[in-house]
Amino acid sequence: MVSGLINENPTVYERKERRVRTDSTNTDEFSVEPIDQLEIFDHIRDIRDPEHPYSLEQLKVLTEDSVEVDDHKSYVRVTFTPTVEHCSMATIIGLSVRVKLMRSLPPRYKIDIRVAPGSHATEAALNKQLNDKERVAAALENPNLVEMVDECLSPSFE
Amino acid sequence: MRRCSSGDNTEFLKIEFDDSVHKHSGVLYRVPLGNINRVGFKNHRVDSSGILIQELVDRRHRFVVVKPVLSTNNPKAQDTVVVVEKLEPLCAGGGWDAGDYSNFPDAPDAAVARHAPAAFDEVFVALWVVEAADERPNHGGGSVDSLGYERSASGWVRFELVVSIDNWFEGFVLLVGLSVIVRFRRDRERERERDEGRRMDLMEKNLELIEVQKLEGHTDRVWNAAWNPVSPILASCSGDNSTVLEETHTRTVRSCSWSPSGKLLATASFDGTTAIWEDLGDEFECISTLEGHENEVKSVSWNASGSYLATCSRDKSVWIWEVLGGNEYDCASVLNGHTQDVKMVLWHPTLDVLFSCSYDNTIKVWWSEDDDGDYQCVQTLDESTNGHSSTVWAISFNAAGDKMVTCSDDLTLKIWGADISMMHSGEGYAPWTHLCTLSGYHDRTIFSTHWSSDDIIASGAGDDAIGLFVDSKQHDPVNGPSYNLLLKKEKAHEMDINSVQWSPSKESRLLASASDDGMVKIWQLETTP
Repeated sequence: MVSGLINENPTVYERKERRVRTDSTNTDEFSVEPIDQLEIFDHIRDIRDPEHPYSLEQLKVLTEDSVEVDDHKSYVRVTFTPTVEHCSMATIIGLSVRVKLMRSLPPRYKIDIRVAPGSHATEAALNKQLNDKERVAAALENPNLVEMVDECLSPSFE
Repeated sequence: MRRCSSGDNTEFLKIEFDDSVHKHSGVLYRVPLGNINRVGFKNHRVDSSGILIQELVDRRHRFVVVKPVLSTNNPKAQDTVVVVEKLEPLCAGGGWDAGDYSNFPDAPDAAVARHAPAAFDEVFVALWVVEAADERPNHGGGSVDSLGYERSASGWVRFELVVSIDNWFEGFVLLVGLSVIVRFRRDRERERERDEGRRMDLMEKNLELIEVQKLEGHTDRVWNAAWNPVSPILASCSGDNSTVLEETHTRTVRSCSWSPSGKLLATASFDGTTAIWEDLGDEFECISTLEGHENEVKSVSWNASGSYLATCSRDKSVWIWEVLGGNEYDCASVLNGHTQDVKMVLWHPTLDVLFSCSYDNTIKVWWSEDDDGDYQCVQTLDESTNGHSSTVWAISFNAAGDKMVTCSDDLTLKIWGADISMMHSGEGYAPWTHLCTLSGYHDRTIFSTHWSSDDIIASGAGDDAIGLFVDSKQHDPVNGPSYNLLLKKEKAHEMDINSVQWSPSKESRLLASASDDGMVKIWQLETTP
């Protein structure tokens, strides 16, 4: 095992059973379903933690309630809870969630990412950085960061 | 366009048919007025029985101006725009061969362009055209001298002509393959009426922002759009790194800025460099690359005289570069003071005072008191002075330079003012004070703001909307000036708007907007009929 991890022994939770959607009321094949909380959560639940071979859902970094969505306003806010207060991987996690959503949601969507209030030592600074799109764009041109993000995202695309 | 000499050693310019001619309007746009000296031509027309009549212009009647009021090699003539006083309808095209010709102003290749009015009362600009090229708009072939110059023993004889037109225009007339002499003067009366009319129509509030053009072509988000100060060209920069720029910049080009002369374009890139490009007509050549910043360069700005450039970066510093001759640029100063990423730098429109705004929520003012190139931070506008509470993304000044607007991630626009006459008269630094805050108009980060020359403030934000604001003209002695929303264009784009900029043209109120959706749109502010 690699030593020097931020969180040596994360608590791993059971994955929530995936609900199969059946919607017998809507038979119009041309209607567009509004995007809801579960759909967005499905996009991000399997993102891998940068340090451990577990998904963000398993580590309870993300839950279904992390996602607040208003499809009508094309707005989503994801609140994630890093496993430890001084987690320096929080930036990678935040970036990974943002990238996954950018690639999965329609371009009309406005995406806000934040850490759960009280869950991180530098909460305000982290939130500001994760939501400055110029900084995000520059970060995503950094090959090292991109590699780490891609690592985190690979299982979630399966 | 090239210079040629005739037999009698007079110089003239040969204009090719599609030399710098705008495809749709027929306007010859890359030729500054100062390069156009004298024009002469021959009238071809078809009379009522369909017979081609070729008339030589009668010199005696037409020769009106003996001597230019403002000679064309005067640099001021470069950006003069003028009223066409008289313009006579003439045939365009045609040649010795029977063929198509059309009457001006029906000619498809004649157009009137518009520009900002100049500061001179009377300017005579004569247009030199020597001869049109072989390829005329209506048909190819035919003889070279489709203009019908009278050839004298020693060379070409040129005619001067005054042309007349029924309606008043402001602008200059450029005809493809044709020559014309136009007499211009600045129409002060009409200007007064126009300015009055504008103030009136802003009050009437039945204004609309109409999309007049959509420029697609970028394959990635567009960060910035900039109008050339002297010609109707728009530069836009994108994350897609279009071909020419790719060889110079290896990462996203974040912003671009034209020099005051309109001849140079500076581009700021995430690769840490700033490149200077020269407009060579059909392409841009990179004449210099400025290195020094430790990471992404966010913005670049030229001072009013074009003698200094400023750049800023995520490395928290602002650099001032001196423009030396021969494509040389020297770093004159490295300014530290911001505690975070600097988002934009902007020189004041009339004074050599530099402004920068940052992720650290402040705006800093930099000035060299002794004018010795030693710039210091003379003021910081932060929360304690009614400043922004989050990242400040952009700054813009009004035409007079005594007010500025800033926009921020805190969802507000703030208006600031200073007594710059004090600075102009050398009485020392005049501090900026907060005048007004505009809030509640955008619900996402406001990325860009621009103050037009006729006092309309535009804003572009992450809510995909463009906002326009004007001074309410209610003088409140206690609270100071206040601004009203003129209109908000929702869903102007499908994604975040990164940049808004008014065209320098004073005739029509054109606004360019650039967005994450990869498009640049041009809007016109008009009164609804």
